[in-house]
Amino acid sequence: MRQNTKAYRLAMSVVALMLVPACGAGTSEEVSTDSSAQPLNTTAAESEEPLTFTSWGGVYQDAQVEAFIRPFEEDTGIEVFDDPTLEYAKIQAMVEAGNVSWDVVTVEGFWAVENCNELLLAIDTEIVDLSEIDPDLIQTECAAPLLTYLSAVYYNTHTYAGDDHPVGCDGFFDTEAYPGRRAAYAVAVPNALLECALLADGVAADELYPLDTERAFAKIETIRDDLVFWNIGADSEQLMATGEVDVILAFNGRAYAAIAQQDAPFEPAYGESLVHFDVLSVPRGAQNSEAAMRLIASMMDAERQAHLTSLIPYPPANVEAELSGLDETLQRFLPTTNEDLARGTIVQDQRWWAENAEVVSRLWSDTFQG
Amino acid sequence: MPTANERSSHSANNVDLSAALSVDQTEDSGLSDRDLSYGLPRATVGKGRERKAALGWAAMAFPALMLLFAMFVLPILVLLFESVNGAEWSLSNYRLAWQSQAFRNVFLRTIATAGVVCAVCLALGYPYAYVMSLVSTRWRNVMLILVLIPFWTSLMVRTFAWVALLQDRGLINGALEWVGLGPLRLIRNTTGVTIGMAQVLIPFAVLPMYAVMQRIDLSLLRAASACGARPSKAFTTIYLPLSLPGVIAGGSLVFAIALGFFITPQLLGSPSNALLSQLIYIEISQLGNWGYGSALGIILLLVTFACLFLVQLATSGAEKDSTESRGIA
Repeated sequence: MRQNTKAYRLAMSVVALMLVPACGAGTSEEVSTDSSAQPLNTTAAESEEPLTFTSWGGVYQDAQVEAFIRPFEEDTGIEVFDDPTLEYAKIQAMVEAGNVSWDVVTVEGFWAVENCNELLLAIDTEIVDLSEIDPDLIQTECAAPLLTYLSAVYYNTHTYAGDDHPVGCDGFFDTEAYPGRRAAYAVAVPNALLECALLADGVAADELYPLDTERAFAKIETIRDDLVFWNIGADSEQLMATGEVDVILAFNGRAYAAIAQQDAPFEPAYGESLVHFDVLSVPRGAQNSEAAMRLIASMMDAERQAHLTSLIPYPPANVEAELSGLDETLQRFLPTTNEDLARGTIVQDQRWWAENAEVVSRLWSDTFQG
Repeated sequence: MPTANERSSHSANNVDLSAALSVDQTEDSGLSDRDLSYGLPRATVGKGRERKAALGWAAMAFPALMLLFAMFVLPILVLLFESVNGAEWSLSNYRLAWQSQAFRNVFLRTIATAGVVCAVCLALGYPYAYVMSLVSTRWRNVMLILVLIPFWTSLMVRTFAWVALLQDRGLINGALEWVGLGPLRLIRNTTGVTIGMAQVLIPFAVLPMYAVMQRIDLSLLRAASACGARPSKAFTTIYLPLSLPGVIAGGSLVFAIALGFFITPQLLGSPSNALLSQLIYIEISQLGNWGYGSALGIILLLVTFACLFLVQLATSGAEKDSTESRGIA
């Protein structure tokens, strides 16, 4: 009898103890939300607050850190944390919750166009000098173009020997003359497979936009049985290194890594290639937007952008960047140093993609996941 | 455990009668008729103290329940809120899912894949659990550790290992080619996904089945053969039904987990045979359609509940049958 009431009392006291911190937590929460409304410190103190730079991780981010972040830290003394976990959903969640912990983010061009002013701040052109940037790449006021990357066609030299190999998008979609497995990027937006399909179907490069999605998907259906998808850049490298596919539409940087560094039996099959670009933006509500703009300004520098390209083969957005000192193999993969490649480049219209992102992804999902 | 309680005396009668004849009967009737004090020394006077004792012990669970509420129930409610478009309160996301051909295909494929994985896990796990229950203690521990080792390795590492093994020019295909069976497509399709998921989920099937099997009295099988039954007949009429609770527990656990599995299908599969979890990921992460993604998540949750509920219905019906037919009266 005593034992039972003792158990009861013990349990009740445990419950009571649990409730105490719950009550306490309420008041401390109020205090923490107040801090965001505190007046900003003086300029000197603010510029000493560390920045957070977020990007896609891996070799890409390593190269960005070496080419831009470390020099910036040396020049200004502002500490920069680099966060490799960029996800669009996270930016959306942060901005909507009013609790933004990222100051500068590297995002794809179309996303910056799509979310300009809603999730991203306009670039402060008084701090950031965009005069040397390729004007084709400036498609929104919320982004500073950083670098470009190409979706281009590469073919397997084991499958197609000699000169009889697929060329460009025509070759990618020609399964009669060049039978074999094709590989393309799994993510719908902004997938160069659509532009490639239209080009292969006979649309002229300057008449591509607005894209005829029905025609593009109909063309893709014709090679559907031979098509496999890769989810992330590393997958495409893997597919090339193991020689599992015969023709691939891949990013030139990944192709370079596979061919030059992993001895993949692949060669560029340039005809047309699509130019995408990554941009730098500042999320709305970032706590340190002025310093963030200064970081972005430093990343527009021609010399530093050229240094980035020497580390990963993605051509810089800055047209003044000097690339002739680069490794010769690397130069083959860049349109600025390889004329064959340069002839077929088409800059992807991120504005069309921003407007039609949802429609295309719905179509893509219905077509390929059904 | 004899008590003065009415129900307990009834159970005491049952225990006396059926102890020698039916193993699980003891377990079942013991559980259903057990008094509230769960084996503790009970107050001999009145029900008030019983209730307080029960409340005392139940209240000990309160912190855990609070944690469960905060970490599980609340987020689910937020998800529900998102899926009906928050304040605007419309079922448009659910309608969109219902009308989408892609969603229906993905949905059926998810259930089918989970079913196949469940069947494979049970088929492979049953003999393993059976052997585990028969062998000596030392071998049993070895087998147990072999089953548990996957739990102790990272899921990502295991899945990437499968990618290396199942590739078109990977180890498995290399061996098959050497034997002459030619390279098979083992990755980026449902086959690869099933293999990977089955390997990950087998421990969830083996452990419940083993837990039930080790309590089965093997002398029953000897008794059956003494009565003249062939070994296979003894197995199907005595052992199999006794092990069924474990099979159902393991099977429903594997099925429920397989319905929501993400990493393994994402890495071993391809967009053309995506599962529901991958669809949810794309909607939330890549497309930012949180309303639609939440609706898909709620649908997955409801389907899981429905399947478990159906299993519950089927098994409670079976239990009723078994207890009725076994009652010696």
